[in-house]
Amino acid sequence: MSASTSAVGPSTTMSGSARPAQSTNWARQVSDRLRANPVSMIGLILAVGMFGIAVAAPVIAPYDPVSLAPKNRLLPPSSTNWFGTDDGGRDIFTRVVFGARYSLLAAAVVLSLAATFGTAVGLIAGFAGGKIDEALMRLTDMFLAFPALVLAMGISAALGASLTNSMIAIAVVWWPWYARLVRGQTLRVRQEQFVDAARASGASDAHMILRHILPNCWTPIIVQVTLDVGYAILTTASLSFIGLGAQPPTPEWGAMVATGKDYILDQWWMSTFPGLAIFLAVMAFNLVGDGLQEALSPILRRR
Amino acid sequence: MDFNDPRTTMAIDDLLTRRITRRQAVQGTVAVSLSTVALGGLTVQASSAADAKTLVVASGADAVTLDPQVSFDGQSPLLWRAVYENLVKYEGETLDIVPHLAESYEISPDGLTYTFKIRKGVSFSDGEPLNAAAVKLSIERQIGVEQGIAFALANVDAIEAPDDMTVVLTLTAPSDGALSAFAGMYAPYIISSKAIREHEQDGDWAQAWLRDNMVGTGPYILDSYSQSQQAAFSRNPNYWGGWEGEHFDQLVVSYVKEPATERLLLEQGEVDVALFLPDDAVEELDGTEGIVVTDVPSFNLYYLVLPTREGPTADKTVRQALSYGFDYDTWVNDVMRGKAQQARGPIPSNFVGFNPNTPQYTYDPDKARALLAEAGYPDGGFSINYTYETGYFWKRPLGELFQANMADLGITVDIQELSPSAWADLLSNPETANHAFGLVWWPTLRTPYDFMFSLFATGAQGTAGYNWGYYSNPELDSLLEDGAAEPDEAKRMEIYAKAQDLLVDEAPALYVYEKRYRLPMRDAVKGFVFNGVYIETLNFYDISKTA
Amino acid sequence: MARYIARRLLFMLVVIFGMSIITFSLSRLVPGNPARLLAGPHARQEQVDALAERYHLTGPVLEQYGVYVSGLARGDLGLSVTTRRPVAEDLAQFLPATVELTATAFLITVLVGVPVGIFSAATRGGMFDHASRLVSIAGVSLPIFWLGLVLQVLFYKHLGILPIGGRLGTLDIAPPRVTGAYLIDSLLAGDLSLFWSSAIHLILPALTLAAGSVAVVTRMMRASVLETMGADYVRTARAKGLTEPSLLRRHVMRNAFIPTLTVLGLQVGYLLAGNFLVESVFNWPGIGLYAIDAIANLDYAAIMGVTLIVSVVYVAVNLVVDILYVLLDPRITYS
Repeated sequence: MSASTSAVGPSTTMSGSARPAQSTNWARQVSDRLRANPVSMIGLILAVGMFGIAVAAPVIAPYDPVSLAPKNRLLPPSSTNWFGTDDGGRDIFTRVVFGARYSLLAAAVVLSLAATFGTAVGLIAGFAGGKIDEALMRLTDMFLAFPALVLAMGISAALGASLTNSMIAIAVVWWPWYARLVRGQTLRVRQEQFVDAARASGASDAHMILRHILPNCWTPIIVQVTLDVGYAILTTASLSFIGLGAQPPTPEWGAMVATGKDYILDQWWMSTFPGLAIFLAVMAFNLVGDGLQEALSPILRRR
Repeated sequence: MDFNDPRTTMAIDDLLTRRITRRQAVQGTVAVSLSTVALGGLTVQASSAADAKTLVVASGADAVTLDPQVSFDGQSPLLWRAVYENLVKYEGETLDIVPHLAESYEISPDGLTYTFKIRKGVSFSDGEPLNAAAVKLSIERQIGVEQGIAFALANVDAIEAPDDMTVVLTLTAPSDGALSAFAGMYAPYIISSKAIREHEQDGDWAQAWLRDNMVGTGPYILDSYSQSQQAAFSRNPNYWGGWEGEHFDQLVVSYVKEPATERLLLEQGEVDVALFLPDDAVEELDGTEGIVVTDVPSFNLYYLVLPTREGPTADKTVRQALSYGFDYDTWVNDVMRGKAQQARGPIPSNFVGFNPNTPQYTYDPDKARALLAEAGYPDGGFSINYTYETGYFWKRPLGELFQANMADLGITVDIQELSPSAWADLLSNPETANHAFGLVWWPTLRTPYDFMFSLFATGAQGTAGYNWGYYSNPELDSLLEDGAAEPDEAKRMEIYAKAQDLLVDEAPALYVYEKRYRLPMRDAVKGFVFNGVYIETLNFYDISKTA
Repeated sequence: MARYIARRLLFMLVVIFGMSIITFSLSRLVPGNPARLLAGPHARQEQVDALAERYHLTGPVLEQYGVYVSGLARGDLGLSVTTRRPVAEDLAQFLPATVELTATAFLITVLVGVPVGIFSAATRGGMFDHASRLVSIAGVSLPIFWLGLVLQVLFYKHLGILPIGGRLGTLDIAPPRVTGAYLIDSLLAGDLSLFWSSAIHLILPALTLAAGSVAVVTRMMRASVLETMGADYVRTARAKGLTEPSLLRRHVMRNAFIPTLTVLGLQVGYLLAGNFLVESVFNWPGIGLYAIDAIANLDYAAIMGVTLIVSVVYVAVNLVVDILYVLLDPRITYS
């Protein structure tokens, strides 16, 4: 999880200075800088590639990812099975390709839930201020007091082991970060003059929030989400590895590494390829995120 | 032995929290930690496993309790049998019962009186002598704790010690396999009477103390024990069997959670024997330099039990269809790599009372579809739940093959993995139990009754036994009772044979496979003899190592 | 300052209280009757009821919670279904192993991450900088459990130079327990071969655990050094003629370290979480492994106990970080 903290300290996501609306000029600047960074472009290509693979999975994959073929158990990588087969005779290349779907889906669900709920809470807290703000912030502090994976494990265990439940668990654990982020932004924006002007002219609270404050929050939210995609994939895989996420025979990468663990000595391919897939996917998104941060930082530095 | 006695039912019930969960741990379970050493320090002086006088055993399953009378789990007996002994035992690899702590025994012709003459000159490791009073106390304790094999002693009416070295048991009714209750892996092991008396607390028969301590007559003494880590034993210098010949001075049993780790430890020679490895790991070890894998028949039978109370599987025809719809050959040849054979009915083929003429299903999807149509499900169209516990290496593939085979018939199988306790909880409750599940059984008593009653009798449903498919058939129940009460052996076997035929016809479970027992060990280890009743234990006293 | 600490401690207590509510609610969310799970599937109803009475698993939820909290105050965390011992005892047994592993990983993180970060900043744009950036991103992208497995196979199976797991060799005898950390205890006992054995066993798990946090700390250090170096006062000092090394030493280091300190505090949380995965792969008998098995057995008392301890440690560490902050940067005061 990218480092944001409740104590004094830098947030690694730089929040933009508030303007009534973001200029497209700014966006173009960012994307230009991003494009100029070769390493990040590699990441972008990889990430896009992963999307492509996930979407085209049924077309790319030579076999069925779930059906058993016990006669072909535990075969090493070969021309017919590029990544070998697992203990059920299933083609690992196929399963890795389909696994992309689960990982991306999980990341999307987790982040949508976390960002949505977190943003809502952050907006309310920042806008309402006072006691409500205090209370909500204490609540987020309580969640933030747990190392994320630990709490996610606990919630997952309570809800029951399944991919859906693990996604919910991770979202429940991550929303506080977004809440804090958005709250900080909201506080900043509130102080701007145009906000007072709008209020003076009789705008309602909802109007204020939706029309003026929220648009100024998009950027940091999007940046944070981009940074978090990789971690979402990683955390989902970790929970599956422990047994709390996807259940066999679902071809989820973390679950595949877990099954392969018992066979690691002689059938190294069972764990290696899914693990490699996780690594590359997370790395791709992290490269993009890292580039994004670099692209944003000089622009947004206030000094 | 009267299995209709409510005391019996109640006692079978406490087949213990762990019988079901750990019992299937023939292929491994889940629990904590690696084989590092007990925190309290150990008297193992050996510096490496190459020391010919120390046996180092790695076990993939954690022992549950050191008390030999209170559990039916499959892991603890390994430790019990280093320290405790019984009145009688099974000889070698056979089912013949021979005297052990009793130097002779006699059964009256009417089967109601059992007279044991206790061996002279034996004492417990705390100095207490072995005599009739001690034996009597141990048996009373077994009955009193109402756990373990207590259910099999339900019709023991009186225990007397007419003289110092004789114990006489009187039963209320003769019972098939009564003697075997004293010979098996779960039996009233003879515990030091001094220990029982001294550590007794609030009427608990010293259970609290004996959970972590052992005082028996056996060849080894417990030096130290750390749950989930290690148990260490050393020679009992006063063992009545004497120490002539080749024997180990010390035993170390380490719990190793990860199969890959356990395998490597064996390959590298850091341990001498590796228990509870998954099948695939064992097969990989076969043929490895320095390692030998035993290959002997066992009495294990592996079932896929079907839910019979509700849903389409309540219909016998549907169950028969499923029995024809499972691909036994693929399981045996491909998944089990030929180290198994398809089961014929509910009793293992090498066990007493096996009926060789019991019919056997074959994989015949067309027949399956015809039967389904006959039952009103021409294209399947329904679903079955299958559940297994985390860490049971063979149950998941079984479920997956079942799922694939059933899909061909248009039946959906939903697989769910649960924690061992949740699994047991789900199935032992008739409200929630509507699931198919895998189950392995091995004999507790030397009678086919044991298999059939525990898994399929009305009296064994729910918390009372292992009939978690909730099959209930009065015809079967009465056949079993008649068999148990029949004094003539030939007639008894006939009745049991009928019961097997009935069970195959009724198909409350798929009788999937039997397996040979494959235990990997270093080739320096000599003298291991496997007995299917004492599965996953070692005959410590008889084995030795060449340097 | 003292008031600040007092306030933070109070806050810590509130947080722990809140956490206990969360974990307690989770434990009661688990379907199934905990008393029945404890008693097992073949227990008679009386046995189940007796257990429920004894361990306060029945009755109004608030009452149960009350008992739980008062138990917490006494150090009673309930009974573990898996080991059937008090959870507090289990934790006491397994915690030192985790602390030893986490501390070692933390040390690696600081000793490697900080210098590499500084050097990257100092050589900004150079080969080293680019290389370290790539390696860092790779480091945070690696699934820890996968890395552990790969290292195991590489170093144990193929190269045979490091052990596959555990804290000591199969027949090693643990040193007499003083701290519970074998490295320290073996030295205290004067047993050098045991020290060596425990050190060797520590290498792979600690490296695996540290991989991700080294990466983060490197990046953080680099960023904050760069930021500090671009600050006005540094520019002034440079204009006055101060050379780079002494510039780095006198002005940059201290201030650059401050944000890194925060990150280090957070990394402890990351390390604590990573423990669960690393201990599982390397069979390290710490609370992570204990928790994983508790999860498999739905042993909620144990899960709660571990979660609570981990969070307490995490909160405490961050409190220490905040205090260090004040000591390091006189400009920062807490009202």
